[in-house]
Amino acid sequence: MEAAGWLRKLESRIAGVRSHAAWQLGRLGETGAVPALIRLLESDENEDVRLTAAWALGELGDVRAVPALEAAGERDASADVRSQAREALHRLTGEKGGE
Amino acid sequence: MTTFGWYTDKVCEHYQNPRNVGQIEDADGTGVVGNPVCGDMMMITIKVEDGRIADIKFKTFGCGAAIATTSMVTELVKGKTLEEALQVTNKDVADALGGLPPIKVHCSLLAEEAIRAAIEDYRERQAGGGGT
Repeated sequence: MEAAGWLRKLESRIAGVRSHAAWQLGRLGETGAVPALIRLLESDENEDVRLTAAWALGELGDVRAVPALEAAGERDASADVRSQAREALHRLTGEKGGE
Repeated sequence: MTTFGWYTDKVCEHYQNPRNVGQIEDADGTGVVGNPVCGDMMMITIKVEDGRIADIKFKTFGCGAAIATTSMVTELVKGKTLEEALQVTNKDVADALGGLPPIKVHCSLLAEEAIRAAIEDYRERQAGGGGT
């Protein structure tokens, strides 16, 4: 499937499909997905989706994601998401984040 | 049969002898959920005839509970109408396996999502919206 197909899947009602699509877009290096991935990181109700969105944003290396990753690294309700966001931020900026 | 601590015999049996393993090449619907970042990834392919799931196969990359839950969900929905299959919940899957450790309940949720995704994909294809 091409990037446009995975972008559509980010809108699926099924959380597992959204998280899979986020992973695929990160693997593909699809920077056009950055705004949609930021939205997922900021507001998706599912922890796995937010976690994968954070990972994908780290892979894509687009500085537009820095504020959202910083916020998630500090304030996400899930410890796993906070950890993944800090790791992604480290990959993106080269600066190691603290706990 | 080898037993594995707090897993039920049914979970161990489906882990060691999973049903409906594989991939239907000319599938009518494909559902893929999860990813390696989160842990488990499941793919279910279905053939639909007269509104029923005539054939179903799965591939799961994940833990033993993930394999067992996907195996069980394929057993539960095979031969059912699409509407009946959509009524199958993760609790039905877990109950059919004799229960799951709390930390593995998310596997049954992912298995439920995988069949729902395959049916959604089938319906999108039928509507002309393309598919996976």
